[in-house]
Amino acid sequence: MDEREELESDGAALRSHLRARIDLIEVGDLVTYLARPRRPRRLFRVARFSFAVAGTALLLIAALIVGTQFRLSRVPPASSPVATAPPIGLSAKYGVIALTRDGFVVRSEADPNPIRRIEPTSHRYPETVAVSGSGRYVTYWRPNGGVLPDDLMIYDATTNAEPRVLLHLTGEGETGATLIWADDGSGIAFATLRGGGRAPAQMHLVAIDVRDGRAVGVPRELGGAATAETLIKPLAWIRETHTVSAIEGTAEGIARNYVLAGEDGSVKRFAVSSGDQVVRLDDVIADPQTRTLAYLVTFTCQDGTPGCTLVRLWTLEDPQQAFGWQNDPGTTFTQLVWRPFTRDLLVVARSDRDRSLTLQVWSSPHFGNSRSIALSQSDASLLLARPDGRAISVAASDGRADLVTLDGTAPSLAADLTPTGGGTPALSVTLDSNEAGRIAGLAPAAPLLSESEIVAQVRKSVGFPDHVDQISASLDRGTFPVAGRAATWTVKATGEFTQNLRGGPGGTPSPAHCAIWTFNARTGVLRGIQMTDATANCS
Amino acid sequence: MDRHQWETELVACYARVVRALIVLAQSREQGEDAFHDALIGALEPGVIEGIRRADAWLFTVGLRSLRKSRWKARLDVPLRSMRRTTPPPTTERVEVTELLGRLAPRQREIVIARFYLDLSYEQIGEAFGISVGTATATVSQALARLRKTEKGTATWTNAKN
Repeated sequence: MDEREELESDGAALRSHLRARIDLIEVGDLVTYLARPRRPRRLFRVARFSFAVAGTALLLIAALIVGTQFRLSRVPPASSPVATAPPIGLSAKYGVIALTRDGFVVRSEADPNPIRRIEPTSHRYPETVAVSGSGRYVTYWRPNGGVLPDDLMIYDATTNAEPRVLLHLTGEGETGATLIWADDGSGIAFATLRGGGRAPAQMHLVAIDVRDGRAVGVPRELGGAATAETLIKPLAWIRETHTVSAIEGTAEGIARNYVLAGEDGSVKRFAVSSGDQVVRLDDVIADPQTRTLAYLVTFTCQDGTPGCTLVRLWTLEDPQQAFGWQNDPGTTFTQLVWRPFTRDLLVVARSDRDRSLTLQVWSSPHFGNSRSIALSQSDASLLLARPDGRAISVAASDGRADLVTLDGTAPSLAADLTPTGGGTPALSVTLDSNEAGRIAGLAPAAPLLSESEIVAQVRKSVGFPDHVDQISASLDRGTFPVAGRAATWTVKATGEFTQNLRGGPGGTPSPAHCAIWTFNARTGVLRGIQMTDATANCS
Repeated sequence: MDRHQWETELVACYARVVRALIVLAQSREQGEDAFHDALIGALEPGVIEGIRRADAWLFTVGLRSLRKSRWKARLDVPLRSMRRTTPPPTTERVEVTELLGRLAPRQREIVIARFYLDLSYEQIGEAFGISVGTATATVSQALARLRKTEKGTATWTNAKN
């Protein structure tokens, strides 16, 4: 009997044992693995936690020493936009749009009396009113003499001048719906519903250019909804990539597809959910600055109870790169909003035990929550992010709100944003032209991670007993559009890396002296690691 | 392999590959994630044409993904530490057989490939990037280790009888 035959005869018992035990594991249908959402991984290990605590303590001591030296030698900074920003608190430089029964009113944060009443409007939903990036211009739909088609109107909140007509819709029975501004404020993308009064009506995506509050050129058709029963809601218009991102769903408000419409009329669709997952149209938001899509998914937990929630993140141009975070035990995610001029995603979480709310600040959304702020409200119907991104109002349906400062310069403030005469606070605007100019001059958050961010991420991951001697990073910007090569950071480091993946059967891996990581430059998600002893590869 | 062949083989073998990966990951979540990664990889243009045996390919690519995921977890630790949150309840630890726990990780992978997925030594060698001799030696060492520790544990002895 040769060695192989001997092995086989001895292995027969092992084979039957393994089959008897392993075949008991339940496996889902193949289709569930084809469209499988990712959930956060179990990360905590006691040993690693101990290392993290010890490492953090050492870092704090080092930071204290370095910080003291740095403070002594530091020169006062030159004035910056942030330095000239008004102090956080209810400010007359900012206003609130509150939806009323017939339209909306504009009030200052500091004074509840309306400074402008705009009634009637065609719709009374927050998404049918759009505020430009600087917070200055407000666009909305007005019924044209009470009959269709609608007029697209524009109101300058800094001058409080009489609203002007920006565009007349011309289709028979055409009504305007969701509106958004282009990322650079140079245009407006919107959905319209055509064939009103005659079934089936169909939604269309349209875009126009805007300069100095006036329409330029003619509206451009970008494509329609998949079927007559489908609603389509634009989310972001990125001028650099010539694309409008939108979400498509049912009349009941359930999202089905993410739509990437090109200015050239091309349309691509990507399913946002599968299986028992539910995504509401209102829970899908896009950030034109970091070019990221975030949406809230509700699904049945693994133990069979309903109501588990998960925040899923996609890059706008490459929606196949999905990443998700599930709620912590005992909490449920309820609302999402992007914070302008940062990479922050703000998430409201509700405690299942006492229904209290917490505002989570996900500074780098692909790594989950990094800061939590307790809210005094038990109902957060609307999130009003200030146009400059320094504060957010978390408002209940009765108008009471928490004004939360996000740069940590002031404590949170309880406020009542209800205008005199009633109304539901829905959007934040800028009432001061200098302030609007300051916001227009702020640098937007970059879509790609910076070198320092990616290097810091690697350094944090290399813990005792490993160490880094030298580290460098290079960026490959990739190609656009969909299905092109993703932008990638390659980080090379020399040092000692004992936890490498090499090693013979059963043997202890030997330490490597060169490590090369590759990351998706948009999300920071690790794509691969190589380890070698040849430090020349890392130079 | 053409697309039709691939689909037929995939339907026939996917459950075994998923189970094998779950056992090696000792976690349903991680095993299923690894299989998902392998499936996504197979859908890249031109990949299916180069595959000779679907289960061997999916298992190998899934294993690679499992190893990477350990590194990903490591990268996330410092950021997660800042959250001070408990891990989600959905990660279910899967301990299928104490027998496998006695083997080194590499031996476990090769034993599963040989005795659960029924890959030949040649296929194991190709999939793991090792020689046929090394594959045979690893299985031999694994069986020897099991024989040595079987005394006092009824599991495998009962199976043999």
